[in-house]
Parts: sequence; C-alpha cells; structure tokens
Amino acid sequence: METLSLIGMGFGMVLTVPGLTAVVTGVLIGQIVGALPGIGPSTGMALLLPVTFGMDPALAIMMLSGILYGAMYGGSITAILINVPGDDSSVVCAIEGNKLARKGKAGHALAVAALSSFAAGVTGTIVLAFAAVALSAVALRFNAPEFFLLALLGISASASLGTGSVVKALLMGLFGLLIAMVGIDPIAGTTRLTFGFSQLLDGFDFLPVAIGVFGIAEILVSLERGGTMQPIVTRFRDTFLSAKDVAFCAMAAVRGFIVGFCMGMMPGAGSTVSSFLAYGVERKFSRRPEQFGHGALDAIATTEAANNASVTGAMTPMLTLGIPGSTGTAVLLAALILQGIRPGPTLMTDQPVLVWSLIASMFVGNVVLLILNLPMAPIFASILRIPYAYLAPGIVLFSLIGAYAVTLSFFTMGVAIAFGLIGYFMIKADLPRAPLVLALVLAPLLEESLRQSLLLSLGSPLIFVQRPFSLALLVVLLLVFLMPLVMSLRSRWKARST
Amino acid sequence: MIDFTNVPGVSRIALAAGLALIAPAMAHAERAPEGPIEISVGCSAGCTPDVLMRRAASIWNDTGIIDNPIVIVNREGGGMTAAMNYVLSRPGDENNLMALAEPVFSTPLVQGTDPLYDDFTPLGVFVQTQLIVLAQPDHEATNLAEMVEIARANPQQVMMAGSSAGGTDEQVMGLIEQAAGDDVQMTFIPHSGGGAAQTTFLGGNTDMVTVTIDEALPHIEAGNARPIAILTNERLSDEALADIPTAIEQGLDVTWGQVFGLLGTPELDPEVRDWWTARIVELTETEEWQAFISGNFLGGEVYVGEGLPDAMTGFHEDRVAVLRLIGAIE
Repeated sequence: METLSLIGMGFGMVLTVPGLTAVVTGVLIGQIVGALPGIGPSTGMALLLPVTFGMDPALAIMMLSGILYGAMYGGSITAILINVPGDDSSVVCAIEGNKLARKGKAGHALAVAALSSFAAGVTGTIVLAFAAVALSAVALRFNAPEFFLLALLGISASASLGTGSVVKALLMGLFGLLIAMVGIDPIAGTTRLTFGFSQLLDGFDFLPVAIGVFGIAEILVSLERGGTMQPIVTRFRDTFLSAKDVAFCAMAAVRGFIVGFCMGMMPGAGSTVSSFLAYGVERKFSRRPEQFGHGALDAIATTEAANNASVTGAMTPMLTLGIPGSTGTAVLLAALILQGIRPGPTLMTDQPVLVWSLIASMFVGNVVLLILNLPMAPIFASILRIPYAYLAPGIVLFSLIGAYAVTLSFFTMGVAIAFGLIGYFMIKADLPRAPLVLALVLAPLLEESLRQSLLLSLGSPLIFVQRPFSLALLVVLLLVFLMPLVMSLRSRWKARST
Repeated sequence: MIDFTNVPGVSRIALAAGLALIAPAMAHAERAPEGPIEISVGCSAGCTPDVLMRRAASIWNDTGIIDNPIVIVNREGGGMTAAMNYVLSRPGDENNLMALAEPVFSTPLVQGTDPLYDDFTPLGVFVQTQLIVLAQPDHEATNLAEMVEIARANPQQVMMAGSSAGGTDEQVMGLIEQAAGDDVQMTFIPHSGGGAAQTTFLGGNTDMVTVTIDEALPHIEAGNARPIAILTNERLSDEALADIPTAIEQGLDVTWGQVFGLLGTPELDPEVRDWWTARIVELTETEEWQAFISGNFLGGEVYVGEGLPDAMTGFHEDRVAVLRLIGAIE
C-alpha cells in the first residue's frame, strides 16, 4: 500500500505541465538518437546534461532516463527498415527484422517491436517499483561464476544460429571469439593482437562490425543482383497483428523480459548482451526455431523485450545501491552528482520524490512511446517505397556516418567497410554471420568472468559447483547440452528397434 | 594539505611556485582564444573527468568567467589514446583542450611507448580524488593493519576488487603490499569498471575494495562496508570521516589519489596558456566550485603556472614507480 501511495505521489509530479514536457522531450530525443546509428543513448544524454543543470533534479532525471529507454524503441526502426542497427542492442532486430521487411512484413515487425518494448518497459517498471530492494539483494549473489555460465549458455546457441551446417556456425563463432581477443587483456592489462595500432587497444567496436557484416554486406550483394528488387509497400492494416501472432510472440517476450531484466541488473552486461542472450535462449525454446535467421517474429519480440527490460533492470542497482550497471545509468548518476545529490543505498529513502517520480515517469514515457511508435509504423515503413537503387547509397552513407559516430574517428569507418567486405564473402561462401556477432558480443563477458572466477577461487574450478546459483545454472547448462543428444540417441534407438 | 605524490614535499613546492606565479602571470599579456572551446574527455559520459569538466564548464560559462562556449566531447578508447591523439595532432590549436586524468600518465607507460603527458601544454591540475579502503562489514580485520597481518598469514587469500588492471585500485594494492613487506601478497580481481568492482565487493566475494570518498560514504552509512583506512596524509575533518584512520597511522606508509586537470595542445601560445592559468584560478575561487569540491569530498589543490611542469613530472615519476612495483611495466 505504501508503495502505491508513493507511486501516486510520483504521478502527481509527472502529470503536470513541466513533468509531461520533461518526459515527452526525453522520449522523443531517445527515439531519435536510438534510430540514428552510432549515437547511443548515453551520447544523447550527455549532450543534454548541461541543459539539466538549472532544472529541478526530478525533472532532469525524468528527461534523461526518457532518452535511455526511448532509444530502445528507436533503435529497432532503422534496424528493421534499412538493416542498419540504430544502436548495439538492436543488431538482432536488424538480423531478423529486415528479413521480415523484405518479405513485406515491416509493419508486423515494427508492431511486434513496439508492443514487446512497451510490455517489457511497463512490466520492468512495476517490478522496479515493488521489488527493487529485494531483487538487488539477490542480484548481488550473482557474480563472476554465474556470469560465466550465463555467457556460456548464450554462446552455445551460436552452433544452432547458422542456417545450415553446424560446423560452419561453430567456425564463425570461433572467428568471432578471435576478433574479440584483439585489444587489452581484461585481466593482465597487456595488449593482444593490436599490431601496434593504438586504435585497436579497445578491440573491434561491436557496432561497426555489425554494420559491416549485415548492413553493408547485404547492400553489396543486392546491388550485384541489380534492379530486381521491388519497392515494398506497407499499409496501416499490415501493422495489425493476428491473435495467433500475439500468442506466438507473447511467451517469447516473457522469456526476453526475464533474461533482459536479470542481465540488466548485472554490471557490465548491458542491453546488447541481454538482447543476444535472449536471442540465443529463444532459439532453444522457440516453436519455430527453423525461422531464426530468415525473419522470425518471436525473435524480435524476445530481443526487444530483453533490451527494454535490461534498461529498467539496470535502474535496480542504480536506485538501491548507487552503482551504475551500464554507461546509460552512469550518466544518470553523473546527473544526480552534478545536481548535488549523492546516489547510494539510501537514495530511495532520502529522495523519495525523485525516485518515485522517476518510476512514475517511466510508465508515462512508455505509453507515449507506444502511441508514437505503433500508429507511426506504416509511415516509417513507407521509406521502403523508395526504389532500392536510390535507397542503397543513402543506407551506405547512413551506416558509415554511424560507424564514424561511435568513436568520432575514421578508423571505425574503415572497420565497417572491411567487415562489409568480410560479410560479403561470408554471404557468397554461405557462412552464417549471426554466430560471429553473437560470439563477439559475449566473448568479453565470457573471458572476464571465467578468469575472475578462477582468481576468486585461486585456480580451483570447484567454484562453479560450490555456489548455489552457479550450481543451478550448471545443471541447466548440462540439460541444454545433453537434451538434444539424448533425444537423437533415443530416436535412433527407436528407429533401430522397429 | 594532502600530498598526492609519493615524493615528499613535491606538491608543496609546486603549490608555492604556482601561487607565486599567479600574480606575475596576470601581469603578462594574456590572450583569450576566439570561438568555442572543445574539451576532449577520454572516457564515456558520466566518468569522473567527464563530470568534473562538465561542472567546471558550466561554472565558467554561467558566472561569465569565460564567454566562449565550452563543449565537452567524449572521445573514448584505447585508455584515452583516442582523445590524446586527437588533441596532440593539433599543435598550436587554441580551441581544443584535453581533460587530464590518470590514463594520460599510465597508458603510454603500460603500452611501452614514449610518455605523452609532456607533449601537451599543461594548463592546470586542480582536482584530486581521495581514496578509502573498504572491508566487508563483518570482516575479522577491523583496520588495514589487521588485514595486512591476515594476508601475511594467508598468502594470496586476501582479495581486493578493483577496476581495470594496472589502474589506480591495483596501484593501491601494490603500495599496501610494499608498505607491509615482501611477505605480504594479496590477490587483485580486475573489472571492466568501478561499478562492477563495487558489485563484486558488495556481493561478499572479496575482502576489500578501494573507492573514492563520495562512493564510499553511502555504503558506510548503510552498513554495507567498513572503512579500514583513508589514503590521505592526515585524517579528514568532516564529521562522517574523522574516525577513519589513515594508513600512515596504522604503520603503512601509503598515500595515493588520482589527479585531474586541463591540458592544452602542443606549442600553445604562452599568452593563451597564461589566460587559462588565470581562468582556472578564478574557477577554483568561486563558491560554486568550492561547494562542488567539498560536497563530493574531492581534493581541490591547485597546481598552475611555472611550477606546473615540474609537478607533472613528479606525478609521472610517482606513477612510473608504482606501475613498476605492481609489475605493469619493466
């Protein structure tokens, strides 16, 4: 009851002219920076930081967090329509969504993305309001050993993400791991495989690689095919989902939400890892796994639910412990510090107005975003009416500017072009590209958490069975690995006995 | 006064020289740069130098000390090399500055390349972070001296969580080990960032973590952590901090902190440099700045003017010594 009255107080703060202005401004900017490749939510928030100095702290934080979750909606638009992910966490959305758009189902994909984003955003906010303190206590029990097993679970999906041969998928997964080795060793601090290039010290940035192997590579292939591609028309009624579609996607969104919210609470994982992990998990649970890689609607539902849930998940340690779980929440904390408010475990009791108006604003913001995205889907989709020959150069330009914006250096533009060529040859050689990016995203978490675990246990692998959560994850992992094996053995045995 | 260098007296000399110089510097011809000023920050939005520069920029502009619009640009990457290369490649450019932070010293050292800090035109060092070592609230060691004895009896079993390998946190652990003697060895668990390190500590996975005072206070107040040493020369006078013993009091000669400031492009016109000297001094004298510094428990010692290059060399040499100590450089 107390929580309800606090939320009521929060709504009292949000449902005023300044409150609504702050929320709507925030989510609009979020929507835009989300859709623009290379400009992530944290860049957008940093740009607006100076504006917030003179503002009421609650309004400032409502506006800035609006950018953070608004960007999760925006990212899917460019991903689905032109195969250029607006930010890291919408790469999966590009992989699957653009395939749907090419089949004339852009409206469906956009609607599923908007609805699952909304459902996850609102559910996440409810969980945040009622269970933040309890959840953050549980989340602290998760550390390096548990992260490692989760990452292993996610990366194991790379074998099945190929559209054909498992060996090819595993090879591409290994190639992704190899690329991820470039940069500074996370534990020893020494450089690896940088060949003296200081630009490679941080390794290959994920977004330019994804822009290359998906966006640019596919344009190269389609240009080669010539003017055979017809403009795609999306009408308003195409955005209506059938009851069957909704039922099909609902469970995927629930699974995506759980994965996303849990990963969001962990520092260092973030929305990109969440979206890929959810994609990998969904591949195991989906009723139509064969559609993955060819435009799976449930994959969009799960990944969009995951990245939105991860944003609210990351608010949990931020509000209950004062610890940033992602770069986005780091900017929010910086905004608080610049306002003279010290974030920490006492924030929720010291600053109830601020915390509860933030939570209330997230309900309002998500509603605004849904209103903005669902009816607008056909309008956004009308961009596909432009003949591809005219659209393609624009997409390439847009991709390259996005790659540049990631680091503000031409080097990443070169990376995107190089990986565009690599992606082109991968398409030609029928090598799957999803395992490559999955491995690239999960490799840092996988490596860092394994080595941290072994440092914590002074080298003993027993740490994975001594911790209750870790043991439980290990059992799940073994089941996931062994099930297909047992199933195939059983069917073979049955076939033999008949 | 807090001494952030390991070389006794260096900061005091630098400060004296700096202050002595302010008056003559003002008498010199000063020239303001024209047009907007861009400060490159080598880490993502929300990192410490980013917050400091944004606060400084807002005070400079709001109080009218500086009329040129100041823009903060985050050029992340390569342990700040992206930002450093950007600013260093513009000799004489009066509109580009770089936020000074620890990686400016440490990245070239760890990468085994030539130092870069002395290629810039230093403008001022005017913020320091002060560090606290936290232990688990129910840990059997109630202070750092006891923790060190536990580590002596159990080699490598005492663990400290911290941010990146070779960074400030690992440097602190190296200094504690050195001060305690050869037979003390602890284990450092590196993380991708300070937030992740604190989470590992709060989850009860390590004995200790090193954090800045403003990060530490909420956890101490909430009972999630126990402060076992403050790494300043003397105890701090603030009510919440007065009971925390320094490492020195406990017989461990460890003082350490991070320094932040502003760097200009190479070959910057001395008139523009002197203009910045005066603007930095004016900034640090404003009420807003002083409230920000004390509110966040930062050190606000100012190094500007003629003593600054020597102070920079002092900071650099201290870091060479510590990085050598922890084996990050040969």
